[in-house]
Amino acid sequence: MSASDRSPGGPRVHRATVTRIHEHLPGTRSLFLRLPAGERLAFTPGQFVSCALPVGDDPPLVRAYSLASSPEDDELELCVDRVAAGPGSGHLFTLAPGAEVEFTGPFGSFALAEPPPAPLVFVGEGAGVAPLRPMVRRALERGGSQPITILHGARYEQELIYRDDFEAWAARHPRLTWEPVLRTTEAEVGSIDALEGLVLERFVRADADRSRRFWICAVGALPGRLRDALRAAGYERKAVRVEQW
Amino acid sequence: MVRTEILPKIRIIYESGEPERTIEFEGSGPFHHDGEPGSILDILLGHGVHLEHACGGKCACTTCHVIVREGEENLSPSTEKEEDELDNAPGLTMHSRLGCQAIVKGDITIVIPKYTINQVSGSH
Repeated sequence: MSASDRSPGGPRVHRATVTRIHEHLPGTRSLFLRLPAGERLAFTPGQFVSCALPVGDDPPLVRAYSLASSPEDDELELCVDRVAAGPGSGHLFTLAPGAEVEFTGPFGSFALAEPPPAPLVFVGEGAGVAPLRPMVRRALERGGSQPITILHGARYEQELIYRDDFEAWAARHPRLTWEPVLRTTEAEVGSIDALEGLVLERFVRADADRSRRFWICAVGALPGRLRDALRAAGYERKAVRVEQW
Repeated sequence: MVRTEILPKIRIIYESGEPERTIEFEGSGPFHHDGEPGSILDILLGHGVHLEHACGGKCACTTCHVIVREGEENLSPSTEKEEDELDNAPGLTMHSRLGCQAIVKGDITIVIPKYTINQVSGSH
């Protein structure tokens, strides 16, 4: 079964060409894709596309990859974290410029179409900031006066991908704060880490303001833990959006 | 040898009018290793029955939305994560589940809705 006939009447299959590859750091890279002339993908900042990859025991292997680009950009940017022994990301890491990628989409409700008039808090760890990037850009471009905070967790400084963008945007927009949050020790993995602790301290214990809106994306259990803690602390269900990788 | 064990069945009805199917499954698989182990998605794909799963079975979209017609008690209870995602499913019902999250423990009958794509409409 080929990707194009996997779903008669299902989502439309797009075919894009890899134009260039940017290696953020070993194990994390962006593939820039161009659709055929005249074709554009309408999506909402934060959404992902679903790639049908010719790998795995029973191809195609369906895997989701976040769009780190904005709908206004000419090219689509897929930010891919290499998963150990993961056939999907492993395959994408073999692609060179000129290769073709098939996908359907966009999908997902972890997205920001129009920024609500409330303080916006974006929490991302590692490559989890990829879908947050176009959301922040959308929020800035739409204007408004609400404060926007990015808490950017990483194990070490080099892992702060898109740092240059965030710093440049923060310099231009005083209402944007970009704050790197580095893990202090490996022993913190699996326990309350620096990022989780900071979110709870600042947005739960420090005040009674529950008007903030959150978008949280990371690998593993952190998004779910923060979602539960923030909702339990009085934030509305819909005010806390998470995506777990 | 006469097999006396009665295997759980999944009856699949398509809203699109495609002929319905029934599969019997064993605890040992075959599974496809997508979605929660032993989930509707995992079992259907393992038996060669297509079910959309745009996010790869990670509870990040609603393309594997199914409506449970019978045997709801034979599925694992839904989690907050699943409920969050289901909120976005077109055609949501009181008996909706995500195929990638609902683990099958006995006989069920499910309906595959005609429209399963979830797309947040943009402003442009």
